[in-house]
Amino acid sequence: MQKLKFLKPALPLTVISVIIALILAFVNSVTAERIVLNTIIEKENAIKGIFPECASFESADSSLFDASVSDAGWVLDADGKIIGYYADIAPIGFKGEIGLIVGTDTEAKVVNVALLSASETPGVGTKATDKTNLEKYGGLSLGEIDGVDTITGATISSKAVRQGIKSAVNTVEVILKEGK
Amino acid sequence: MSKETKKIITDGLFDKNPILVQLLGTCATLAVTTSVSNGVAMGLSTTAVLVCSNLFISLLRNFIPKEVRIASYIVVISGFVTAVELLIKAFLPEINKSLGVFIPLIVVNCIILSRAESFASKNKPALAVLDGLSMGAGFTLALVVVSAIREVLGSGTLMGYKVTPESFEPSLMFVMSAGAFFTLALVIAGMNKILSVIKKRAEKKEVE
Amino acid sequence: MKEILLIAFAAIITENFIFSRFLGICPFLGVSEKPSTAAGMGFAVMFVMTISSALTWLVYKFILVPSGLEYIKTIAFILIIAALVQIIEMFLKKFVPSLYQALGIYLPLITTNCAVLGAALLNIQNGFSFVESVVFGLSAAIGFTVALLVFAGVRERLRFSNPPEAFKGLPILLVSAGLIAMAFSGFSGISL
Repeated sequence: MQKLKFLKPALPLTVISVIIALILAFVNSVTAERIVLNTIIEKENAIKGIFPECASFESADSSLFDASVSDAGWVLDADGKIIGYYADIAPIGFKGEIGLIVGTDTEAKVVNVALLSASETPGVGTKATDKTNLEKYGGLSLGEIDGVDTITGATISSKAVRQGIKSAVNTVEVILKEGK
Repeated sequence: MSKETKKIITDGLFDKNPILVQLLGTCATLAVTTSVSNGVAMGLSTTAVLVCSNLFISLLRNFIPKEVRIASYIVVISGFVTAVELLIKAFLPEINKSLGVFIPLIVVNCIILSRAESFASKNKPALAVLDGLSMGAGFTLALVVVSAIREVLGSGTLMGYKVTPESFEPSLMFVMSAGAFFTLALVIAGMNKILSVIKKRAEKKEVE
Repeated sequence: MKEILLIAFAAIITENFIFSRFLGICPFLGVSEKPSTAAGMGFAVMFVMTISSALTWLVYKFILVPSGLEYIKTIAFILIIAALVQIIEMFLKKFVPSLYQALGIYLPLITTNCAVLGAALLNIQNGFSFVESVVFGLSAAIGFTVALLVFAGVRERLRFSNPPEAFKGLPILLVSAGLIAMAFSGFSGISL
C-alpha cells in the first residue's frame, strides 16, 4: 500500500508527459524537414551571392576538412565546370558560432566571405562581420590571411573570423591538391 | 463585458503588468529589447506559450495532484516552448537568429510559471486563456516600449527604418548591456510614477 | 589548455553571465541584499551549474543525439536541473540548515534561473566538448557569483541613499547594475 501512495501522484504526471511528448512528436514531424531545408537554402543563397554564375555545388570528401569546417567543396557553373571552391565554417566568436561561407577561386585565393549567422554584440562584435570588414579578405591567399588586422573592440570576434577563414582556405587547398 | 473579465484584461496590461509591476521576466526583457522587431517577436512567442500552457493547465487543473504540480507545469511549459521553438525554426528562421538562445529560455521566464500557479490552476479554461492573452499583451507592450527607446536612441532606427535626423549620433550604449539596465530602470520608474499618481487621485476622490 | 582558459576567462569577465548575457537576473536582483546570502546563493549555483552542465552534456551526447531526439533537449535539460536542485535542497536541509534557511525561497528558484538552463543550452550551441562544457558551466557560475558579490556590496551603500520616489526599489537597483555593466563592458576590448 505504501508503494501505491508514492505512485499515485506520479501517474497523472506520466500521463501529462505522454500527451506533451505526443504533441511534440507531431510538431517535430511537421517542422523537421523544413528546418533542414532552411539551412540548405541559406547556404545556397550565400554561395550564389559570392559566385553569381553558380548553378550547383558539390561537397568534397569530408576527411579532407579542417576541424572547424563543416562542409566544403566545388562550386560549379551551368556546364559543370569548376568556377571556385566554398567552405562552410562556424568559428566560435564572442557569443557563440559565427556561421560563414568562404568562397575562393580556383587558386585558393579568397573571392569573398558571406555571413550566415552570428549573434555577436550588436554594434561591437558585429563589426567583425560587416561587409566592409569581410571584404578585406578578398584576393588573399592562405599565407596572407594572418596579415589582416583585428578590429579594435571586437578582438575576439574578428580573431575568430580570421582564424575561421584561414581554416577554410586551408581546407580548399587540401581539396585542390586532391583533385576532383 | 463582465467585471471579472475586465479586471483580467486591465491586470495583465497595466495594474499587474508582468514586467513593469510584477518585475518578472527581466532576463528576457534586458536581452532581446535591442530592437522593436525583436521585442515584438519575443513578446508574441511568449504569449503563444503562455496561452497554450494556461489553457492546458486549466483544463487539467482538477487532474494534477498537488505534490507534482510544479513538475507538471514544467513539463507542460517546456513542451509548448519546444513546440514554439520548432515552429519558429521552421517557418521564421530570421527570428530564430535574432532571438537565439532566448527562445528555449522562455521556459524559465517566471511569468509563465507564475500565471500557471496563481491563475490557470484555479480558473476555468476560458478565463485562463484570457489571462494568458492579457499578461502576454502586457509583456509585449512593455517589451515594445523598452525596445523602442533602446532602438531609437541606440541605432537611430525604429523597426529598421531610420527615424532620427542626420545630426543625431546614436548612442551605442543603449543597445549594449548597460543601456538595457538603464532603459528598463527608466520605464519601471515611469510606471511607478504613473501608478502612484493614479493611487493619489483615487485616494483624493475617496476623501471628497 | 589555452582554449579552456579562454572559455573560463570569457565566461567570468568579458562575457559575464549577468552583465553581458543577462542570464540570472532574477536571483541577481533578489538575493544580492547581503554579501553573506549572495555568497551562499553563488556557491549553490556554482554547484548546480557545474553538475548540470556535465549531466546535460552527457544526456545530449549519449541519449538525445543517437535517438534523433535533439529537439527535446530543452525539456530534458530543465527536468534534469529541477531534479538536481531538489536533491541539493534535501542535502542542504539535512547538512547545512543555516544556509538552507538563509536561501529560503531562492533555492528552489535556481531551477528557473536562466543562467543554469542558459549555460546548458549554450554548451550545446557552442559545440563544446565535455571538459569545455564543465569549465564553461563552472566559470559562468563563478562570474555569476562575482557579479552577485559586487552588487551586494553596492546595495549596502545604496541603503543609505535617497533616490526619487519613483526610482525606489527596482529601478535604482537597475541603474546601479547598469553602471557596473558599463564597467564590465570595458573588458570586451581585451586582446588575448
